[in-house]
Order: sequence, then structure tokens, then C-alpha cells
Amino acid sequence: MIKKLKKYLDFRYLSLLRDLIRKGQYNLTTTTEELENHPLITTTFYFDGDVLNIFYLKNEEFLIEDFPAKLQEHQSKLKQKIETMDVFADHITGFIGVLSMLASFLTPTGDNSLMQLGVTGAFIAIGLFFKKYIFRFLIAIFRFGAKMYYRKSGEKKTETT
Amino acid sequence: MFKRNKTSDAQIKKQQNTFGKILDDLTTLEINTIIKKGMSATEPPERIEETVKGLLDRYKNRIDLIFYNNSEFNIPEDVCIQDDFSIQAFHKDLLIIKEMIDEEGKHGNRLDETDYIRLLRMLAFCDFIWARSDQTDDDIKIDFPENTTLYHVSLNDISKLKIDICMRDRVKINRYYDLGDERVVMQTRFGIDGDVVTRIEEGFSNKPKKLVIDIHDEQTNLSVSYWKSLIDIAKGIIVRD
Repeated sequence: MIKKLKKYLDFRYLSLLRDLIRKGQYNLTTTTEELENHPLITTTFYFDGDVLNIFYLKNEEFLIEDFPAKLQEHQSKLKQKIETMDVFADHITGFIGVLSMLASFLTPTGDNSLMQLGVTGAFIAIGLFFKKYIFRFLIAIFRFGAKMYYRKSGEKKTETT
Repeated sequence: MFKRNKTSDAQIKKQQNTFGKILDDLTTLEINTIIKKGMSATEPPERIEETVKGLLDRYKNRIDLIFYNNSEFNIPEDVCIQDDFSIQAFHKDLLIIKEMIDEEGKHGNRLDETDYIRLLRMLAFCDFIWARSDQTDDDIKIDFPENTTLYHVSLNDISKLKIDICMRDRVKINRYYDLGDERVVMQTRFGIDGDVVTRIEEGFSNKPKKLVIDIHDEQTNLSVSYWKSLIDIAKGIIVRD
């Protein structure tokens, strides 16, 4: 579970989100080496949810028909990206909430949006910079909590038996 | 100090406005499938200036091709030959061409439907740029020459231009570039009220390809989950408590 979460939180897997933020769109093109890296299919996700599929023809034939494995790979890559987004979306509510709370707590005037944005940005930057250590720290807390819980429940068990 | 606050307030208002428009965009979902003949496999241009110029060049070439293949339509001599190439001039030409084609259509001389749809797409692009050039804050402005909008400027000296454009409009132009003058064979559109419309091009429906239909179907399912994630992220950003 933790490994899976760690994998999803790894920014290499967040290319879809990164491109959406930076460029407003994300392109995934699958090519084939057999045809000198000719594209077979392109899928573009836009920031407003729209999607564009492009199929390439060669001599009036759909190239993708001859490469079913490539198509499978293309689709599974897209699924993986969207799953990553789902996990991110699940966590963002709490994440943004905590950051906003900290920002409004630390800024002298609660309604100063620019200041709030700056502090929030600083927290995100710190979070990204120390993400490895923060993650380890969180895991340590989680382990400690789990250990205490099992010790307690173990004690209870011995009491009842 | 006062001036800075005023500017930042205006910027925040503009950002809120843009964010509101983005949320508006999220109320519909569109999945298009297009088939492309041949492919140079080159990367799309990075600069928006090159994208606009490239798109207009493609549109112009397509207009030439349409009239080359349909010699029965007599294109007016002064149309699409301007050396000074601006979207405004192209828009004017397109309106003349459309009027002529509509007039010919009344006499039974009809243009191929795919080409007619392409023409309408070109008009939609010009209309979009025109709507953004009404001298308001939302304009797509250009650094050189001063206070010129994208609609009016000549695109011949594109290397000297620097277009000031928000991310939302940039993506819209990129989308027009991606669609280009290609043939859209399938389109599925979801509305926030639950309406779902799937359009299949007549030519494709006569000779359908199961693989294309299957992938379009699969991509539609993927798009819905992608859209749901976007909504969840937007919700996460807005709802703080």
C-alpha cells in the first residue's frame, strides 16, 4: 500500500498533471520503431476535460491495426496516468485545506490573498524540497502509531483471555 | 503602495475570472476522433506565434486545394491572395467564399460536406480570435506594433511578434491547431445536464472500422474518469473546509 502510494506521489508519474498545469494539455503519442518511429496514435487531454484521438493512415490503412500490442500499451499508459490523477484528487482536498489553514494562521491579515498565496507556495516548495524526509517522517509516525495500537490491543486481548 | 494594491487586486480579479471560465469549460466534455493521412512526425511548434502562423498557412493551403478539386466554383480573384496576411483579411475572404458556396448550393451545386465542415471550422477560429479583439482586458494583445491585437496584425513578420495570451486561449488555439483541417470521424459530447450526443461522419459510417469505434468507446470511458478527476481537483482547490 505504502509502496503504491509512494509510486503515485512520485512526480515522474504526475506528468499528466504537470503538463496540464504548464501547457494546459497533455499529449501521448505511440510510435513504432519498425516504421522509423512513425506515430500510430496520439491522444491529447485538454485542461477542460476534452480529449482528441488521432489515428494515422498509411496507404489508406490504419497503422494501429498492425500493432495491437502498441495499442494495448498506449491504453494502459493512459489508464495509469488517470489513476494517478485520481489518487492525487483524493488527497488534494486535505492537502490544500491544511496548507490554507497554516497560511491563514501565519499571515497577519487573514484576507490578504497574495500573502496567503506566497506562504502556501513556500510550504509547497518546502514540501517538495524535503519530500523524501517528510515522507520518511510520516511513515515513522504511522509505524509508531500502528505499533502502539497493536501493543494496546494486544494488552487488551491478554486481559480478556 | 496604493498603486501596487490596486494592480494586485485587478490581477486577482482577472485570475478569478479566468478560473471561473475554466470551471465553465468543465461543464461540457468532448471526445473527438480524427483520422490523419500521412504524418511528418515533427513536434508541434512551441511558440504560440508559430502555431497561429502554421495554422493559417494550413487553412490557406486547404482553401486552395478545395477550389483546385472543385473547379466548378469560381473563386473571386481578390480572395486569399493578400501578401499582407492577417486573420482579419482571411476572415473577410472566408465570409465571401461561404456566401458564394451557399449561393451556389441553392442552385444545386453543392460543396463536399467534409470540405464545408472544414470551412466552418476555419470560420469558427476567425470568429474566436475576432471575439478576443474587442479592445477589452481579455484581448490577445501583441507587443509589436503597439496595442495591436492578433486579429488585425500581419502575420508575415511572425518572428518579431510576441503574443500576450492567457493559458486558456493558448490551449484553444492549440486545439484548433491539433484539429487543423483534418477529418473528424467521431465525436461524443457530454453536457452537465446529462445529455450525451455522439456524432459519426457519414463517410465513416458507410465504411466503419470496428477498431476505431472500439478505441473511441474506450477513450470515452477514460475521458469520463479523467474529467471526474479534474472536477475532484477543482473541488479540492475551492472547498477549503
